[in-house]
Amino acid sequence: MSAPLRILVVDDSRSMRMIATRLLTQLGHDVVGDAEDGKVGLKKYFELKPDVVFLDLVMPRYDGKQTLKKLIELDPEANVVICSSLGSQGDVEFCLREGAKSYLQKPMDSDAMALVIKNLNLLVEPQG
Amino acid sequence: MSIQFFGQYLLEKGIINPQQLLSAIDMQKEANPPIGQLAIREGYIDEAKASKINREQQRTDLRFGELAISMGYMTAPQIDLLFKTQKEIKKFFGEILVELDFISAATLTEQLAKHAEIREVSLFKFDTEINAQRYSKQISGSIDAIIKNFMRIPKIQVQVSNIEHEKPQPGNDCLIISQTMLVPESIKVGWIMDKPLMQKVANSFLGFDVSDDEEVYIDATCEFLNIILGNALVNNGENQTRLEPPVVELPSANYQGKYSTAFFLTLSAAQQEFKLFFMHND
Repeated sequence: MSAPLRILVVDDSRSMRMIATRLLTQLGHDVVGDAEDGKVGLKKYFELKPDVVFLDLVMPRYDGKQTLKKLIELDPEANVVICSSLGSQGDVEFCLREGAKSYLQKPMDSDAMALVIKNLNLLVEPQG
Repeated sequence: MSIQFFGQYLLEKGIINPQQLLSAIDMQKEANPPIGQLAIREGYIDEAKASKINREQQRTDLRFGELAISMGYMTAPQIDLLFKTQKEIKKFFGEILVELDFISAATLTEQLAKHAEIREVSLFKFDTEINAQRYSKQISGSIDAIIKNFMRIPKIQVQVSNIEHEKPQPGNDCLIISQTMLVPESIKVGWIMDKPLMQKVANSFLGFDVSDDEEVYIDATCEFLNIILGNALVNNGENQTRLEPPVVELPSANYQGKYSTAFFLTLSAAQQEFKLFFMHND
């Protein structure tokens, strides 16, 4: 087993935060916090310093694209995975150019989540 | 057609990385110029005329070719010729990935087959009625995405059984959940569903029982609609899309609000009926 990653989930939908937390926990990671919009998400990011952020796009007030831009501006090293119902070429292109590390299309799926996390190359296998 | 952009599918599977995806998009843009650029290249119009058409396009929902003709800049045969050229030189995203050596031809064939696996659903018997609608592309794309997404969740099959223009009066146990798509004019899309069906949809969609928590099952039903409409916009090949967050309304006589036209479908899921509606201005 590799060491668990500390993950922040930003999604305006409570049920989506629940399911993301459930799936990530089942994959052996720690969901250290969640946020219902981008503003709260940014605040929690700097408080919690998670390894990875799962970020939704369609959110009221401060949406995911605004949040991504701001987050990467403040921390260019942030590992952001977009997790959205949107997924047209333009949306994917926008987010990757803005610095997202990967892009998952909802509905969430445990296998896809595991693969995307693995491909972030953040998992550290224990020595020995 | 799938409800996922092929490049994003490959990224999700770890077959290509973000940099490769962006390089392929760049090359695809270069290889597949829009009609306006082709028209300049072929010497039919100059840049000034092309920008005039582009500005006009932002105001109307007409295509470049239609505007070029109506503004007297080009003839219909010229536009046809450009479409032919565009088709001849068109490169598919997958071809570009192979050309750039990001994936092999064998991987492309294999992954394209997997990507297309999502079952096709025919709305054939309602085609005439749907095609007569102003936003037929968005409407059929949304219905298709609804059926495909219901198929993904266990135990609930959905079927379209009727299409009507009469506004139904929702029962007291129903809620109206809707979202506005900006394409760029607004289309309000939503469903009228009673709470017991919402519970079933939410439980199936989330994979655990939330029947006791009204806030969560309503929220999950909203999110399910959000996923469907997001997928529908991908299906329709819209580029960057605007979808406003879902809104929950209690049944009221004036839920059509500012929209002049409405279109209702009766769908059944888990042996229960619900209504799906599309509202827009003519």
